[in-house]
Order: sequence, then C-alpha cells, then structure tokens
Amino acid sequence: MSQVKRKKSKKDTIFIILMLAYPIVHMLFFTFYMNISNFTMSLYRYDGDKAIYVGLYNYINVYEDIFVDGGNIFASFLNSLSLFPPKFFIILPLSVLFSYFLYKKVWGYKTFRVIFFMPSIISMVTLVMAFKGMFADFGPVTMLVKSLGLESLIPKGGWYGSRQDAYAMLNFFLAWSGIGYQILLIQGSMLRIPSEVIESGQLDGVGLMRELVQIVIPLVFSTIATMMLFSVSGIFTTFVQPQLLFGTGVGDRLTLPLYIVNSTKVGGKNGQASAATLGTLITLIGAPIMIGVRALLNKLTPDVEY
Amino acid sequence: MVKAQTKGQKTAFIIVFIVFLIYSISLIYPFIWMFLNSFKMDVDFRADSFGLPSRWIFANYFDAITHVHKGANLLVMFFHSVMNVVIICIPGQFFAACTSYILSKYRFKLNKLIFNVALVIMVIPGIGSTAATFQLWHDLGIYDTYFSLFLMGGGGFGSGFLLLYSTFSTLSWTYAEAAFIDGASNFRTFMQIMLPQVFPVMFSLFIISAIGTWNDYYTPYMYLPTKPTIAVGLFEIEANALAQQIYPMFFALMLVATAPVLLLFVMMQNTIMENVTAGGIKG
Repeated sequence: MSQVKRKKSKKDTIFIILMLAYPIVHMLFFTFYMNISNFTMSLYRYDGDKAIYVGLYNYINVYEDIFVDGGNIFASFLNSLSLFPPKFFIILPLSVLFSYFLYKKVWGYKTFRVIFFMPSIISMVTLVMAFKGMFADFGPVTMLVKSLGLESLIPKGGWYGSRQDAYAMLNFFLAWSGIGYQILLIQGSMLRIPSEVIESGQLDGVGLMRELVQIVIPLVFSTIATMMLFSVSGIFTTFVQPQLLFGTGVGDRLTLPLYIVNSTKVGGKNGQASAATLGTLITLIGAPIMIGVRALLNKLTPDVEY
Repeated sequence: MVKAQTKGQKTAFIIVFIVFLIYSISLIYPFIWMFLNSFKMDVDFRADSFGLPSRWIFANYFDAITHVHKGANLLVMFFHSVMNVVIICIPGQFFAACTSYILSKYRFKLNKLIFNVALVIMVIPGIGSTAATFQLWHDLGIYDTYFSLFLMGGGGFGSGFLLLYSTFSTLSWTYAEAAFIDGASNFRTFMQIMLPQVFPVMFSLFIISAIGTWNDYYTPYMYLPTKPTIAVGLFEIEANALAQQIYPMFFALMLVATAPVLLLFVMMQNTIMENVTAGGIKG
C-alpha cells in the first residue's frame, strides 16, 4: 500500500467535502430518496389525475396475483426465476471448462478470443435481430431444420409459441450471446496465475483435470464467484433481452423488471403505482438476497495471494 | 497448443476445438447472412434468404442512410447516440476519478464507511425505483431532456470506481508531496499531478463505457422518447420491417449502424479486450 495523506488542515477538509459532495448526494438521492418516493407512490391509486390514498391495496393486488389468481405478475416471477438455473448450473460450469482450454491454448485460441469477444461490443438490439433472423420463418435455422425433415423439432406454435418455448429460446439466446464474454473473463483471470504455480504442478505429474480442479479453479475462484453473483442478480435485472426478443404487450412473457418497465412506460398513473409496488418489493427482497449472496461468496472464496 | 500427454487429453482438445469452431460460426454467420441479404430485393429475400443475390442492389444502403424514423434519419440517430455518450460517459469518468482519488489517498473518519456503503449499493438492484424516477422527471418537467440523462449518469461510485480506486492506490504519494512543497493546492495537485497519471486507465474506461452507452437500448427508450438513438431506432424500424417489406434495407441499416463500433474495435482491439476482461461492459 502506498502512502496516503492524513487530513491535517481545514483546507484538506474543504477539499474532501467538495470532491465528494456531488457523488454522495447522487448516491443518497438515487438509492434512498428514490426508493422512499417509490414506496410512497405504491400507497396510491389514481382516478384520472387525482391521487387516492389506498394503504396497502396495491400490495394486496400483487399478493392475489401471485398466490390466488396466478396472473401476469406470477408468470413474470416464474419467468425471472427460470433464468437462474441454466445460467448457474449449465453455462457457468461450461464457461469454466472452456476458458481452461482457451487458457491451455487450444488450436486457434487467438482467433477464438477475438470472435468470442464480438457479442460484447455489438448492441443487444443487433444481437437479438441477428438471432431472430436465424429463427424466423425465412431464416437459415428454420429452413435447415425443415430441409432435413426435422419439422418435429419446431414447437407447434412456432419457436416462441408457448411461454415455455419462448423462455427456452430466451435462455438459449442468453447463453449464445453471453458465454463468450464469460469465458474470456475467466480466462483473463487464469492468465494472471504465475506460471511457476502451474509448472510446479506439472513437475509433480498433475494431469489436466486435476490441474483445473485443484490448482486453477481455487486460484480464479473470486472471478467465478462474481459470475455466480451475476447469475443471481440476473433474476432481478434481466429485461432488455425478453423485451427485444418477444416485443412488448405479451402479458405472460414478462420478467419482473420488465413488468415494472412496461407498467411505468405505458401503464399510465395506475400502472406506475403498480410498478412502484412491485419495485418496492423487488428492492426489499432483492437487496438482502444480493448482499447475503455476496457475503457468502466472499466467505467461500479461498484467500489466495500470488 | 500445450502438449496434451494422453490420448484422452488429445480427444478433449479436439472436441473443444470443434465446439469453439461451431460457436464461432454461429456468431459470425448471422452477420454474413445479413450482409448478403442487404443487397437483395425484398421479393428475392423472401423467396430465398440463403443464396447469393441474383442482382446486387446497392440502393438498400442509400435507402438505409436516408430512411426517416420518427423524424430522424440515420445521421440524426447517430448524433443522439453520440450525445448520450458525451453526457453520460465524460462526467461519469470525472466523478469516478474524484471519488476514487479521495477515498484511496486521503485518510479521514468516514472514508471506510463511504467505501463500504458504495460497495453494498453496487449490488442492490436499481430497477425497483424506475417508477419513481420516471414520475419525478415528469413532475420536474425534465422528462425527455439531456439534463435528466446527466442526472441519471454516473455519480462517481458506479462504473470505473473500483478500477480507478485500485489504480490510484498503487500511485506513490511522493509526487503529490513534492507538489505541496512547491505550494500547489489540493485541487491543483489532483488535476495537474495525480489525475494525468491515471489518464491511460481512464481512457480505456471511457472507451468501454462509451461502447456500452452507444449500444444501450433501455435508457433512451425509457427516458428519451423523442431522441431515438441508433439502438432504439433499429428496434423500432424492425418492428415494421416485415409489413413494410424493407427487410433487406433494414439489414443494411443494421450493418451501417454497427460499423462505427467495429471500426473502433479494430483500431483499439488490445486496449479494449484487456480492460474488458479485467472489468466489464455489460455489468
């Protein structure tokens, strides 16, 4: 740790205050004020422009939608949750495995690195359009499947016909557009492992599998832990992809954040009150979950120094 | 390639190579497909989206550049995207430099507390307060303005804060002390002595956040409805592309729109890749 300045004079204090004033006000405003004002909004309904205080009425609506009616909020809830298992249990382990091979310089690794990186700099809109084009009626994937006589692979109502099919496609899209970047992030942290560590293992005759599991993974676990955290936060943050892939207006295709975005943007005053209600719940439930998961992952991460 | 010792390992390398190859093709092919189809007439495209164009129609590119959506053509949408980058990324970088410099270099009572609160807030989902933000901008009469965009932009604890914090931490304080001895103020030392030393890092961070902002769909869709950026415009044009029979033109538009970022990437591939794999664009 390099030297730091200890606060001495009044001038230093003024400097510190001036430098941090806007950032701290910004943080307090967007984190605390906005969430409190969001909560206040959730206690009202509107008759035209007239606000009527309704207490917890909006919350009861959310409760009934989820636990009694199985309505669109319930569907959004299931949809959001359904994004977690594939990310966590399939894509992440595959990313670790693939990044190891990239790190081990599989043939063509330099080219692969550049290609895998491409989705990160291309707009989500463009990626979704490319994906949609592939699976459109006139698109290559659909044509190929048909020409191979495998029509039975295409769900009856089309690729996005039912809610389940649509979410299978969304998960496929998320994997396709996201795995390359994830592989590169993990490989990037593998590259920071000192070569002596790997070499000494090799001298001891450690095979590839053992090297990966016992040496490499523990050393890059902090990066993997960050990915785990992202796969949890995805439950609360994934909405642009389904919005672009399914378009707006299909009630049971939303995720929780997309429900908030849609109700806010096109739902009028009462839509905003509903969005504020769901938003308050997401913050109240999501914040402790995220903080807890982060703390847990920090605890699980081996304390390595190299 | 590292020598694979056993037969099993060789097979593993071959399998992974094939998987990588297929995945790479799946990433590249859609763009080749769009490129080829961008030269077709709409009827040809519908009849056969696979083959080469029977006639190469360059007019699609001319139409793409002059196509007007919500009163904005491609150049206007480009301009909106650039404005978003300027308004979000430049102040964002500056404030991140302020916070990370103070917290890494000045010891004072609340230092640790501020740092830890910032770390915790980073992981809290921000989407919850969307409705309140949306309504507040309306109430203040600044909805759909660049001022609201500035307010929503980086406050100093967001993107780049941690990377700059660790960069400042590694800088020696001796430079600053020398400046103080020469009579420089805290602010002058920051601006003229310390800040220039992290410019390379800030520049990479700026490029990365610029690409992210350029590509962002949500913010301009939600908060700047009359200032469609290229990302918003593309999505809205596509919604009607099938009905209007302009798919080939749309592909041309999409490729032209992607070109600036690709060009930037080709020019600065190493800077971008190194920093992104250390930090991140899409969070």
